[in-house]
Amino acid sequence: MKHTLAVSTVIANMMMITITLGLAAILIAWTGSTYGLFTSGSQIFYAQRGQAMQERFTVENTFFNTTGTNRRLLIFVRNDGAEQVNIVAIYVNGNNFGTTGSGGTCNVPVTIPVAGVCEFNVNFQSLNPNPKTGDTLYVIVASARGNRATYTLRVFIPGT
Amino acid sequence: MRSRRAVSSMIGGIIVLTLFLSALSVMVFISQQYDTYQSTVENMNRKDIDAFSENLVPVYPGLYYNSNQTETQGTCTPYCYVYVLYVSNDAAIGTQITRLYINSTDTRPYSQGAAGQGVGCGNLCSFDASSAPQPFHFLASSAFVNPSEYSHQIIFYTNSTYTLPCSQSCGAYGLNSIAMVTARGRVFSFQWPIPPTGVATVSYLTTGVMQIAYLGSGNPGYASANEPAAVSRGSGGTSVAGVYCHSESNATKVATGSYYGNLWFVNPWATWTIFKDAFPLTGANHTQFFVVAKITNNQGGPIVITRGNVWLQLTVPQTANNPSPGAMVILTIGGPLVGTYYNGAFTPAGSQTTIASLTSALLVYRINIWSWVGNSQITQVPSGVTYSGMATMTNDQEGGGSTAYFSGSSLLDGLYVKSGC
Repeated sequence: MKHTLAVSTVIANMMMITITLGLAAILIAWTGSTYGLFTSGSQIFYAQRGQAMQERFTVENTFFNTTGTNRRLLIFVRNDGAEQVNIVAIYVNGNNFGTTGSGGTCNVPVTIPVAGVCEFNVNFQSLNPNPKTGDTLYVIVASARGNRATYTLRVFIPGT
Repeated sequence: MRSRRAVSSMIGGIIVLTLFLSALSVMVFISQQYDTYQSTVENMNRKDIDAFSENLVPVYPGLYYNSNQTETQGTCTPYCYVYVLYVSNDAAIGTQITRLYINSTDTRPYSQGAAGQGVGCGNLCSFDASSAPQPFHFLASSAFVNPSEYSHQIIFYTNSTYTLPCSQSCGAYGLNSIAMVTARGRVFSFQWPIPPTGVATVSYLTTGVMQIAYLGSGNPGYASANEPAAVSRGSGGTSVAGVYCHSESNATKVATGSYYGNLWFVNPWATWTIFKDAFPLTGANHTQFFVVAKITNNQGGPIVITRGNVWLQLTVPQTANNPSPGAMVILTIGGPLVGTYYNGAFTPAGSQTTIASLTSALLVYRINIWSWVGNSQITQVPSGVTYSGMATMTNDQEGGGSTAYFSGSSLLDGLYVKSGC
């Protein structure tokens, strides 16, 4: 009985080595890309978390301006952190005042530099036209990094 | 076969080692990122602790205002009214004030109704730091309050039309809400005029005339016989030469306690003359004022006086030559409570003096004027300019730890003048 080999022993060995190296190259390339995505993702994550952590802003004062029939709330926001702050939304009692009224020094969205202060002028005419003395307003100022500053005030309108 | 297994083992080992090293490098890199993040977290936590450690407390009288006290420098055109904010830092960390807010709930002008003489901050006034006098700004040089600094002065300016309600005393309290914003994001506020402390909302201490006494009587130049007749409240020319005309028996009783010797009350002219003669001072030369305040305990029960402080403020009025650059002087000097004279006995400060209900006592304070106090400031007073008044303000802490505040009237209105002198 004569045994006939499909390929010679040398060729078979070379094929096995080639296949093994090929699979190894594919494995290393896959792990490399995975590790690369993982490292770059973690780098971005920690960098963003670090920036968010260094972001500090406070509502340092509010004032209810009742000139004439206007009902406006002045909100003074100061950036006392180490990163500039991008204010993207102001909520008053759950209502989003996407654009503040004229008269303030800033409109949302706005970027407040470090140590800067912005005066937002919230106009109540469209959403809450009749705030009156004694009403409680809950103000939330939100930043693009997900931080927020809150402030609670009670409305006082002189003469009422 | 053995040699082939060796090659395969080597290749396999290299692959495993490559995977292990690459995973290790990733772990090291991520650890570095995490460490950086943690250092940021710790840094911000430390900043939070610093912010929470801040503690600014207003010091009586909170604000000081004098209608003669104006500023024409910087952009104060034609002039700005000047206010001095007194604040103490009760924390062990320094604080920088970045903005002041003042909201007047009562917009009456300081003149209590006279039209055109001023308006309050009914629409919220904000004051930012400025290197030079500027309307609605405060001096940046006064923005830093050192750790544990007592009675720090923050000088701020309104314009020529804005004055805060009750600036010149109106008998009401809390007409202005004053907020101080720090660089760390904290806000400290108080009401001004500062409501009285004590039982309920009523101060349990009242004071009559607050007087200035002087130690010794050897200089005949200070006799009221030499005072010019034009001085307000100055009687002039009626005294016995060589002694102060206006001595008071109570002051002598204080001296009976063998504590400081004879105390003599003098009139405004003599006080001012003594004060001016104290400058320029050299070496260890100094002079002393003794401020004597008569207080009455209005409370139903006794109060205990243990210690206290006094402040004496000097201002120069506006004249044809003043204000001019460098001419205006605001000088504040202070001193501690020397002791309490009560029921014929003098008790030194530090020991308790129990004052029964509805009785009165004399509180004696001492102010040392040394050369470093205000030599450069006092020499800026133009020749021939007299002072506009001295305000005395004291606070006393009763034995229970609470603090009572009261202020004295101007010397021009309050100096005791002995009859028949």
